[in-house]
Amino acid sequence: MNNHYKKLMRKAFHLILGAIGFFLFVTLLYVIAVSGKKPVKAGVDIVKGIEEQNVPALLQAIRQKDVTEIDVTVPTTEVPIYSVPEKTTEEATTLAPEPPVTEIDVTEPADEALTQEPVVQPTDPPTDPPTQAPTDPIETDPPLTVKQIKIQDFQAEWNEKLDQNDVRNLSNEEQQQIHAMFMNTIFFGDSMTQAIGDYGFIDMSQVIYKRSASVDALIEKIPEVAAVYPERVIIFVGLNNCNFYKTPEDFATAFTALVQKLREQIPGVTLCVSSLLPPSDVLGSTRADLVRAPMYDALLNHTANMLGVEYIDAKWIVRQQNYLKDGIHMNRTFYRVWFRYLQLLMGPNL
Amino acid sequence: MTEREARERARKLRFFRLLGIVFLMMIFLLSFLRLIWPRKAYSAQERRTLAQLPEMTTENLRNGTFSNAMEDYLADQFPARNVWVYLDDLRGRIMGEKYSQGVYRSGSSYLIEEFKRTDDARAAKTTKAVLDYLREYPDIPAYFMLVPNASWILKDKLPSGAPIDSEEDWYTSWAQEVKNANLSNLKVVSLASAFTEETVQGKQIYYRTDHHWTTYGAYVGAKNLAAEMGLPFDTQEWKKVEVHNRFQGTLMSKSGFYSRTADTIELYLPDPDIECVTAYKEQQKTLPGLYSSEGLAGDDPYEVFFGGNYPWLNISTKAKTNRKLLIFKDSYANAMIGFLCPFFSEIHVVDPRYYTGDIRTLTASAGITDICFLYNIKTYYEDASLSLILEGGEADE
Repeated sequence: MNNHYKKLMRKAFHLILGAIGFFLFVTLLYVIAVSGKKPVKAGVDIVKGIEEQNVPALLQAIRQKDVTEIDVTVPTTEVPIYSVPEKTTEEATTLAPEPPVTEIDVTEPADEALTQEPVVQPTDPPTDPPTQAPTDPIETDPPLTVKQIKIQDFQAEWNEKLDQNDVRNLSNEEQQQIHAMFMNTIFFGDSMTQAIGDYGFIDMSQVIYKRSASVDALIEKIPEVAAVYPERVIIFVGLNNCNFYKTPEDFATAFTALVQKLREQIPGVTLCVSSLLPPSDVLGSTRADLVRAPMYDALLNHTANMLGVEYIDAKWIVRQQNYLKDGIHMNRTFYRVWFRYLQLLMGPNL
Repeated sequence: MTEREARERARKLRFFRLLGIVFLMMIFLLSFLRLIWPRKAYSAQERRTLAQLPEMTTENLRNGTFSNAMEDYLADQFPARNVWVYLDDLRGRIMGEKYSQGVYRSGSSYLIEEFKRTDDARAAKTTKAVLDYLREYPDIPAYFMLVPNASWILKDKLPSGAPIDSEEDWYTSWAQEVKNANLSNLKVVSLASAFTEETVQGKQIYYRTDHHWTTYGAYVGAKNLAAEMGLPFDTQEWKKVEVHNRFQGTLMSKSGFYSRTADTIELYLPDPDIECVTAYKEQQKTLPGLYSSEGLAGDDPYEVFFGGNYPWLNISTKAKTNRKLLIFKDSYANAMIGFLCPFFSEIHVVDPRYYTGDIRTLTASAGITDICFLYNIKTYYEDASLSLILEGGEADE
C-alpha cells in the first residue's frame, strides 16, 4: 500500500509538472503573439524631431502674416519703449526674495505695528524718480491726443452708467469681439483674475490663476503661462500683496522679477497689468494694511511704465456697491465695464 | 470478486485519488500564486483599468456591492490573466467562434466592428442640430463628411449571414434627409465609392485590428474633401514615414481575438514642410506639430496623432491662405487633419464629446471661413454629444 501511494504521488507530480509545462508553453505562444509591440525607431526619431521644434520661433513665423489682419499691437506711443536700466535688472534678480508659500489670506489682519507707519506717509511714488515716466494719460498736459479724448469720452459715458447702476451685460456681439481679441491672450493673476473665467467673460482656457497668491507665488506659475506661448499676458492682482509685502518697494521688486521672468520664458510677449484696486470703504476702515493699497498701486503704475508694461488704470470703474461682501472682490458689473475698457484700449478703435 | 475485478477497482480508486490530489493542488497552488502575484492596476492588452481589492464596510456588505466588487477583483487579478485570456481565444479559434463583444473575426485577419441601428431617432436629432446650426451661418461654406466603416466597405469579408445592419441603408436615408434640407452652403462628401475602388485595387483603407482608418484611408478622404473645398490638393507632395509596424488596435483588445496580425502606421508629412503649432486650448499647452511620440509609444499607438482626443485644438500653420477651418470631429479626423494643414492658416478642432465651451461664440469670434463635420458613420450614429453642444443655446454669463 505504501508503495502504491508513492506511485500515486509520482503520477500527481508528473501531472502537475505537465500542467506547468503546458502553461509555460502557452505563455511562450502568448509572448510571441501579443507582446513586443515597439514603434519603428526611425519613425519615432522623425516625430521627436517635429516635437523638438522651437515653439516661439515657429509662432513668430506663423503669426507674422497675421499682423495686418488682426491688429493686436498695443498702442505704444505714450508708453516708453521697453528699456530696463541695468541696475534695476541686477537689483531685481538679487533682491527677489525666496517666497515662502503664502498662506496669508487677505482677510487675516497683518501685523498692525508694521503696517501702521506707511499709512501716514504721503502716497507719492517713492525712491528714485523715473527719467520721464508718464503718468496717467488723463492727467497729462492740456493738449489731448485723439486717443485720450476717446478714453475720456468712454470714461464719462460709463461713469454715468456706473453711477446710475445701469451697466448692461455684454451683448453677444461684444462677447464675440472680446473672444476674438483675446484669443491668444492669457489672463494671469489671483482671485481677481479667476473671476474673469468664473463669471464667463472669457473661456477658462485663457485664464491662469492662483487664489490668494502674492506676486512671488505667481512667479511659480509662470511655466504654466509659458506652456501656452500667449501673444499677450494681462496681469490682474489684488490686495493679497498689501499684506504679503511689508512695503510697496518689496512689491515693486517682486513685480519686476515677475515681468522679467515672463519675458525670459515667453519671448516677444506683450505684457499689461491692471491696477491694484483698493478695498471697500467698510473693509478699509478696519484694515490698516489694506488701506495702503493706493501706495502699492502707484508704485505698480510707476514700475510698469519703467518696464514697458502697459498699465491699465481700472480704479475709475470701482463703485462701493460693486464690491462683493468680502470688500475685496468685485461683482460682474465691474468686469463688464473693465472688459469694455480693455476692448477700447487694445482694440483697433484707438 | 475475481482478481480482475479487484484490479479494476484499484485502478479506479487510484484515478479518483489522483483526481482529488490534483484538484486540491490546483486550489492550493492557485491560492498561493494569487497571494504572491503582483497586483496590476491597468491592462494594456484590454485597455482598461482592472478592479482593485474593495474596502469592506457594513454598508456595502449589506447591500451586496462588496461581494460583486470582490468577484470583479478576483477575476481581474487572476494570476497570469492575459495568458488565460489568450488561451480562451485559442479555444475560441479552434471552436470556430467568429463574434465577440460586437466584433467579427473575418477569414482574412480583419476584425470588423458591427453596426446596429439601435436608435435612428438619436442620429436624426444630431442631423437636425447640425443643419439648424449651419442655417445660422449661410455665408460660411460647410462640408459634411461621414466616413463609412469597415462593416460597409469590407462587408464581403464578414462571416456569411452575420446579423448586422446595413450602414449603406442608413447612410442613403441620411444623405436624402440632408439633401432635403436644401442648404445652399452645405456640401456632402461621400466616400463609399472611392473606398470600394481603392479596396478593389488592394489598398488598405482600414487597420485590421483597429476601428480607425489607415493614414492612406484618411488621404483618400482628404482628397475627396479637398476637391469639394476647391483646394489644390494634387499640387501638394507628401513624404511617407513609417512610425509603427507592429500596431495592434482596440478591436483586438475589445474582442479578445488575439493574433499575430499587426499593421503599419504611416504618417504623411507635407513636402516641403508646412510648419505648424497646435494649441491644446483646455490643457493650456502649445506644442509644435501634430504628432506625439508619447502617444506612439503608449498603449494605443493611434494616439500618435495629437496624443489622443482633446476638447479643443487650435492649429496655426504657416500656410498664408487666410482660410480658417472649424472641424467637428471624432477620432477619425485625427489622422486626416494633417492633410489639410497646407491649405488653412488656422484650424480649430472641436471634439464635441469633451468640449464644454460655447460653440457659437467660437464660430463667430475665430473668423471661421469653412466648417466641416467629420465623423465615421458608427460614431455619428451612436454619439449624442454633437447635438448637445450645438443645441447649447445662447451664451450666458
